[in-house]
Formats: sequence, structure tokens, C-alpha cells
Amino acid sequence: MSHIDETRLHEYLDVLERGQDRGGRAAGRQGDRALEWDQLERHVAECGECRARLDDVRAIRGRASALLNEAAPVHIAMPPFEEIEARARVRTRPAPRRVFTMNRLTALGWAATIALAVGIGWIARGSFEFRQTDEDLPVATGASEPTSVLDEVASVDEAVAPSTATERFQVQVPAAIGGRGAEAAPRDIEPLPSEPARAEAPPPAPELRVAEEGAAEREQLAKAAPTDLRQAVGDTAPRQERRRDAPAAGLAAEVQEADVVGRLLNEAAGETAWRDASATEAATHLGDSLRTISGLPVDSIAIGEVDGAPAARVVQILPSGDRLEIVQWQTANAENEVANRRAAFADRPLETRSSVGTQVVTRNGIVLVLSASLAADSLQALADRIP
Amino acid sequence: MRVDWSEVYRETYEDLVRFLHRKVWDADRAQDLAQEAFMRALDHDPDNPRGFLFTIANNLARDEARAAVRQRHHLTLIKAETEDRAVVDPTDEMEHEQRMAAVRRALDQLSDRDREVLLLWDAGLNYEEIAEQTGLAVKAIGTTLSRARRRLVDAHEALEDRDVAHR
Repeated sequence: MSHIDETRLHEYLDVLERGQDRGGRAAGRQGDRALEWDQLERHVAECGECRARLDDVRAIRGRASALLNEAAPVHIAMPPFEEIEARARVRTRPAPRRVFTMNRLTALGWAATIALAVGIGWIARGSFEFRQTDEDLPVATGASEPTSVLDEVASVDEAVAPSTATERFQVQVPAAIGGRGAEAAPRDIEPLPSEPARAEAPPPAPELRVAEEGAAEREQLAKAAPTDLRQAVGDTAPRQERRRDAPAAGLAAEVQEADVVGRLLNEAAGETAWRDASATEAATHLGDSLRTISGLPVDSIAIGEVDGAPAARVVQILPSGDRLEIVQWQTANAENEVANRRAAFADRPLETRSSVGTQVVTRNGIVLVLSASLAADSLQALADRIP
Repeated sequence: MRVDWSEVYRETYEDLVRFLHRKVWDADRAQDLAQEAFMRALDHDPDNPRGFLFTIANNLARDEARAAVRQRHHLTLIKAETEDRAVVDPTDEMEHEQRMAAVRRALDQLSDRDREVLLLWDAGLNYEEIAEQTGLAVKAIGTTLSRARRRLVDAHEALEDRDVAHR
């Protein structure tokens, strides 16, 4: 057997040390090399050179261990294992939930701050009130391009809308004056001072103005307008569309007038004490055939008086489920009635039943006031179905 | 089978402290880290509890070494004022400190691998455990360990000779 190298001798002594000192734990599988170690021991016993080398390795190991012991702590405190366990349990215990607390002074401070902020906001609310600018206003509803002088006027008015805040109205221009009649789209028309052509008609409200650009159309309308209420108000479809703080632009006197008439008549009908009646009874009371819109179910029929004239009220149900109210009565002189109504309403704002669209038509001396939550063109289409 | 950590603690704690002490060179801190390693190990049930403990200790010592770079001086000052240790002769303590410093310098001259293997052996691990900790082959442990011992002894003797020459 050749001489044993230093590494093998270190391993041999390590096995001996750990086998003796650690109860064989460290030797472990190295014990499988027991035969190898037996051979090594026999060789060392016979070989003086390897025996000297083994002594040298043993000295190196001893010196190294001594040096490492010198680097060991002088005193090692070993706490009881239970203490380690207890500390570990404390650490793994879920942390107590943090409860949000606030002292009274802080709470009062916050409350005062919030109250102050709300107060400032309340006081300053007027300074930040939303005001709709002219640029925000949409282009006139309905038509995509001008089809008459009034359309053009409306377009111009939209572009140069004045700053005065008034209301806007929509009107459909009768076909007789070159407009599109019932098919015409609503247009905003600016009110201007009334003209001589409208002299025979009830005087318009002082604040109403007629656009110069529409003078020709209005003149034709005035000439063609008879004294009948139908021609006074026309078959137009006035319906007020309120726009908050909208400038006074695009309002024609005819439209304003028609709307006034419709509202006045509707107001009068609204003040009537109605009582239920049959269709025959209502026709007899009215002195004429009862007007209804065919195709719509009749909800109720009632009779009463509008300013002393026998009147009937028919309520029909629209496909949407909404109610359509038709108040109808005979009138001998529609023009005078309109004038009287206007006088009564001279200093009253046009707020009556503003959420309900109103349409006034006449049929053979019968005034019919249609009221429903519908757009003007829809209400007009319904009115056209009344014979 | 559930690990009997109380038995492992009794057998391994001092070895772990010795091992950690040569990592952090602070006795109190080494004991704190050893206890920390046990606290972290208690919730586990490893096949090799000793190896598991030394893995934790090694990681703790590594983190400690990083932190020590920033805090070593501050901690030393605080501990010098607050530590409550056994009363020892100041002369003995000073001599011990000097010897420890010499060994530390000698250890610092070893390669990282040699030093790690040597310290793990000194902490009581066998070849297989050392191989598991260091990632070396089991057969390489003997070679590394023999080399590390000789280099440590040689380095220490060289340092002593130099100190004598300086005196």
C-alpha cells in the first residue's frame, strides 16, 4: 500500500472524532468505509512515515480547533427552550387590529373644518352658478338645412343670439306662406315689434318683436288670416320648449300669440268643474258631434262649461300610456275670445301647465284644445286626425 | 415524525452560537441570531433539523453582515454601555479579545469556501451536512477541510511572527 495522503488522514481523524464525540452521527455513512479505515490503520501501524504524517495532521487539527475555540464567545447564555417557544408564539400571534381612534380635540377640529367648508360653499354658491353660454346652445332642432326665409332667420338668430335671457318657442310655418306646414321642422324665431299687417289681430304683447327678415311671410299670413280662431292661431303647432337662461332669439309674434291662446284656453278648461257623462250625453251637451282621435281608446268623457259655453272633455290613452286630453266647446267669435283671454293674462307669466304640450285647433266652430306630454309635431299629427 | 425541537435546541444551540459568532463577531448578537433561528424553525418539520437550523442561521448571518456594515460602530457603542454579562477580569478579557482578533484576521485570509467549511465542521456538522450547506460534493469536503485547517494555522502563525517582529 502506498503512503496515505494528508486529506485521507484528515478524513480518518474526522471519522474517529465525530464517531467518538457525536455518537457516530457525523460518521454516518462514512462508516461504510470501515474496511478502508481498517486498512489505513494497519498501514499506519506498519509505516513510520505515514505515522509521522498522521501525527502532523492530528497536530494541525488540534491547533485549528484551538484557534477556533479562542474565537468562540467566552460565555454563551442558553435560555430555556420554553422561552424560545413563548417568544415564537408571541411573534406568530396575529397582530391586534388597530382601532382608529381620534381624540376629542381632533374630532372637533375636523368637524369645524367641514362645517366651515360647507358654509363657504353655501355662501359662494351664487358665484359659481352654472350659466349656459350662447356657444353651448344647440342648433335649431329638426331641420338639417333652411327651407324658408324663416329657417334662414332662425339660423342667423342662432348665430347672433342676443344676450337677453328669454324663452324660446318652436313653430311650424303654415304651408300657405311658403313654409313646410305640418311637415316643417320647428324653428326658433326672434320676436320683433308687431306690424300693421297684424292690426286686425289681437295686439301682441309689447315685448314681442317680429324679425324683419320674416316680414313678407307675416304679411301674407296677416292677409290670409280670417277672423276665425282657426286662422288666428293657424294650424300651427306651438309648443313651448324652455331653455334655462336662453337668449331671446328666434321668436315670431305668431308663435307667441298662438301659444298664448292655447295656454289661455287650456287654462280656462282647467278651471272647469267636470262631471262624467256618456258620449251621447256629451254630444247633446256640446250641441255638436263629440270630436275624438280615432284609434285611441277613450278613458273618460266629461261635460262642463268653459266661460259659460257648454264644453266636453275627452281623455284618451296614448300608446305610451300617457293621457291625451281634448277639451272642446262651441264658440261664436273665436277672435274676441282670444283677445279677452290675452287681456286676462296680460301680466301673468306663461307658466301654466308648462310641462304639458298644448295644441289648439278648430273644427267647424268648435274649439279643441289638445293637451298631452308630447312634442309639438306629434301633437299636431294627432290633431290632424280629428275630423 | 415531528421534530423534537427541544432536544435539537439542547444539542445544537451552543454550536450554532459558535458558528454565528465567527460570522458576526459579536457574542450577544450571535446568541440573538441563534435564538431567532430556532424561533423561525419551530413551525417547520424538516428531515434534517440541524441542517435546517444552520441554513436559517447562515441567512441571518448574511443579512446581519449587510446591516453591520452600516451599524457596526453604533451597535458596538450601545452594547458597550448596556450589556449585562458575567463579570470577568479586564486583563483576561483584553487578552481574549486580542486572541480572538488574531484568529479573526487568520480566518479572513482563508477563501470563503475554506472558511465556510471549516466553521461548519467546527459547529458540529458532518461531511454530508456540510456538503448540503455549501453545495460542494461530499468527497470534496475532506480536501477542503484539510486545506482550510492548514491555512488557518499557517496564517495565524504568520500573523504571530509578524506581531513579534513588530514588538
